[in-house]
Amino acid sequence: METGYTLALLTGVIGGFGHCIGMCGPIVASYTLARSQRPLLLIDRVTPHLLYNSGRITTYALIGAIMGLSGSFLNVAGRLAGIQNVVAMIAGVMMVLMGLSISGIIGNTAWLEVHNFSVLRMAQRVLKSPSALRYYPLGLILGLLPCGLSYTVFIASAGTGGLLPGMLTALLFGLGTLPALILFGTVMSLLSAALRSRIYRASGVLVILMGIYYLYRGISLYADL
Amino acid sequence: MKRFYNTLLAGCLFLVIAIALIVPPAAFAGENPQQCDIQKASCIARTSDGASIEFDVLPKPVLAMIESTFVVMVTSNGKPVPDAQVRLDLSMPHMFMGKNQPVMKHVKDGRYEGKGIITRCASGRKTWQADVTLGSNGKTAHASFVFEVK
Repeated sequence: METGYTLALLTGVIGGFGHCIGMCGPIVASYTLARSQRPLLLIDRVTPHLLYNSGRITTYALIGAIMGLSGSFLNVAGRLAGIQNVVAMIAGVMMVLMGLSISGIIGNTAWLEVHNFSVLRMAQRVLKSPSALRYYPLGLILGLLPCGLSYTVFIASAGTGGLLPGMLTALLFGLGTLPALILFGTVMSLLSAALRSRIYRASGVLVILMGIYYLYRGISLYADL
Repeated sequence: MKRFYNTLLAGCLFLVIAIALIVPPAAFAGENPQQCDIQKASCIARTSDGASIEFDVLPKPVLAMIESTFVVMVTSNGKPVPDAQVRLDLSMPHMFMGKNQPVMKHVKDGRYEGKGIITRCASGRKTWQADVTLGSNGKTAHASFVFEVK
């Protein structure tokens, strides 16, 4: 394997533990806590994380391909910046809504359907859909969250000067982050299952706080533009 | 089954804690970094053998997510050093941001330049560190500078 690809993979592995858990951990925790009301088999716990991360890595690979094809990180990043900040704010809103629902503060979330806001409907689908498949599109969207570590890898993707090497660089980075995030998500689901009857409502408050943090991040990034 | 979960949980927690201890964020930063106000002027460090390493980022103000020019000026006993191997590592002191090494080339009279991008951290942190490593005549020197971007 070429040095650049090995480096991308290693960046993902090291960054997964040293960066991604800190920055993306709240998102993983929020959807884990949101769905951990009933006892689940290990496979049921891992599948949503595999699907969510597959979506996230698909987005990375697509961005890497575009970066490689254009050969310019700044041009593509400049066009993506607005979208990424909006995604950060949407993630924050979704987490606040999930937290309100989990903690019982807003009761059931049927009222969301009354309002015809697409963000609220999306949150409702994530909260209520029985299918684990919903985690793949969630990963696709949240893969767009602004992230300094992935920016560094996208610079390398742009430097490859080609669609395929750019995509492969970002793909390997994403695959490298898998162990940390799947491990973190699975541990979170095990913890919340073990204590769910007592901490379930309290975890809602945690998710609300995480959502407010993400919302703040999105707004502050927007303010920087 | 419950026993299996408990063992798995304990193993996972041990692994996460072990990795966190083995690879602390500070491990990615250089030793004894020098604080400097890169927004106003260049930063200078002196090595034990009398060499001077001056570091600068242009244009001012120094911003994230734009192409910047990184400048390293090397002198020894007041004379420029034109034949050094200069390596520049950009990192965040408390956040792993991956390998960011602008390629440094000698321009003239001990002045080395490279183009690169300081990325934006979504946490809102703006403190970066530049680690300059010099190789010349079989000797190696190192200087670290901590600075703030806007």
